[in-house]
Amino acid sequence: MEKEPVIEAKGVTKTYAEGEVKVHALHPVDLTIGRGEFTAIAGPSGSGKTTLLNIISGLDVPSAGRVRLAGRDMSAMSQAELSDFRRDHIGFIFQAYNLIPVLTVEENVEYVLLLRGVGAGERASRVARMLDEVGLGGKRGRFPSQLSGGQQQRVAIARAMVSEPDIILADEPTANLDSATGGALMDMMRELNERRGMTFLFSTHDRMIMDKSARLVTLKDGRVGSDLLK
Amino acid sequence: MSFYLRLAWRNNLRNKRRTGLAALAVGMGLAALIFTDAISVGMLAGIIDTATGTFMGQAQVHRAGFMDDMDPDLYVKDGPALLGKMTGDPLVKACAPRTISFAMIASPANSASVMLYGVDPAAERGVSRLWRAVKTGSFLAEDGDAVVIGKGLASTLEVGLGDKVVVTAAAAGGGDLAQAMFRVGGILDSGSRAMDSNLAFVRLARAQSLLNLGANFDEIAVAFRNLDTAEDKSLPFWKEYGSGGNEAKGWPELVPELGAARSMSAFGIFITAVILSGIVALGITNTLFMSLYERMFEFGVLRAVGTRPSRMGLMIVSEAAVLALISAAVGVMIGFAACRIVGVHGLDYTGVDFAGVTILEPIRPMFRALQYWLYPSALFVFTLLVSLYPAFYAARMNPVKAMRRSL
Repeated sequence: MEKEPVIEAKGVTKTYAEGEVKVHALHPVDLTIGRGEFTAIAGPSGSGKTTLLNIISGLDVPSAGRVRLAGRDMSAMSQAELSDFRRDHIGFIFQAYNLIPVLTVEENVEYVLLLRGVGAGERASRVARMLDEVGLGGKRGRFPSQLSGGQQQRVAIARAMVSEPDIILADEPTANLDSATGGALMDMMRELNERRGMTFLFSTHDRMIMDKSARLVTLKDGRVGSDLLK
Repeated sequence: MSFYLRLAWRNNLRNKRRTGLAALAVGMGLAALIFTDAISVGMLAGIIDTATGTFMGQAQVHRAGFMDDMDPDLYVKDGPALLGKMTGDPLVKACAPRTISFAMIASPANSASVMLYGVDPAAERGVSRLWRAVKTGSFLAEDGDAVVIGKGLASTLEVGLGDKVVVTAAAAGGGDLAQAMFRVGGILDSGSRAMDSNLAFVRLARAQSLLNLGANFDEIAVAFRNLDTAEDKSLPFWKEYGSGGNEAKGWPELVPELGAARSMSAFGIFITAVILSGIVALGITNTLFMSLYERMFEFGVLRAVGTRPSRMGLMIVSEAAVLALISAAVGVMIGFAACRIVGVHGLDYTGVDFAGVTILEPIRPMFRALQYWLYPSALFVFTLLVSLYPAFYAARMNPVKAMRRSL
């Protein structure tokens, strides 16, 4: 049975003007990601994977084409609506973790729930559950600077997942980690994906992520080169 | 504490040196404003006190037109009855009758024109501090023929304590010249050149006799229980004592230069506030933008995870609010300390004439409650207003540009 689509990108292009030169970052790209998939978008630097993720997440707008995420057409949304949409439907994991340094582990994870207006009691229990799930239950009062890179990325994963979004977008999530820590994190995300049915979409050029992903889409020069379901 | 205030507090503490320097700069501005206000108010209060307390009184009652040419026949109408009534007035702390006339005072060595005052030494103590300025002799203590003159006049006449002088003045009832001999009973050193060179004081009864005034007098000097009474023209006092041919005037009318000086001072404080506000605005804006540029990527992340533009703006305004609170605390402390330190010895401008009044006491900063609530509150509100610009910038920030390194 075909999975319900959570991301539908149709004819998405992106052209940047750099001075008088036009750079075509994305040629028409069609991509559909089903709910619960664990997909990696791979490609060399400049292949357009970050641009594609930016457009899918509503952080950037396509030059042409449209993106539907969780059934909603993102091109018609205002900046405030896009913020609310990202808050409610998308979890982000960044390459450099990007936690708020002045917030504790617990507060970093709690922040997204706060934005969603979740009550204090529920926030506390969901954050505690999520931190236990990523193995950081004992470090909730620590600040990011007091954690290792792997631990910080676990906090970022907890932050991305605590609001139970429709999709988690991860940009080179293991790039700053050693291979053992990166592999352990990928295993953890895969397990969460299988247990919770949450959709993951990675951009990467890390062979290990490509190997562990269930579907591998490759981009080359702004075009989809291959799309392999493993 | 709300989440955003907690975040703002921690972000301000993130770069303690920068926050400290910004708070110090803004706080110094506030402290300067507090000090300027305190010293201006203190100076004016001192001058007003000198003007009213040295001799003039806080208000005076005369016959209408008397002050124009000091006609000896224009004594206060129904003066003794009016004085009796005023003595029982609840607004009045003390009042003193006086005669005033132009006179010529002569010694064997020299002569000079003076303003001759007939005063009641006991009543005078309630409205003026003239008696305190008598450095040699006494202030009309006993001798009925005593005259008190300033040291400048004594020098001109080349007289000392106990020496004889002759006073000539125009008497009431036709303006005939009257003459009497007095002995110098006291010499004043008030610090005011005008007073020490141009005034002479004799006992009221002696002056009334010399000037043919009977029981009448030319002026009632008034000291109120509350100095503000002198400026409140809506009170019935002014009609009650300033009618029937007489006029009653408070110190702002008697020395209009002081009222003008006060307006000028208020305008000066306003200009100081405007200039300091400009400095504060630039300081706050600069600090917030520095902090903003430094955390550009972080702001991009916050936008990416779903923070609305308005909440981004709120974060910046909250940071500004915390910075303003720290700055206000710093400013209040510095301002208070500066006022206390300067208040110990004051600023010594004694002998300098200002708005027609000689400064007799060192100028000391004067406390007003508004210095410690209105100015810090204004700083706080102003800071919030100024922070709207960087807040707007943060709200309009493009998350992709902010996070150029990643997503």
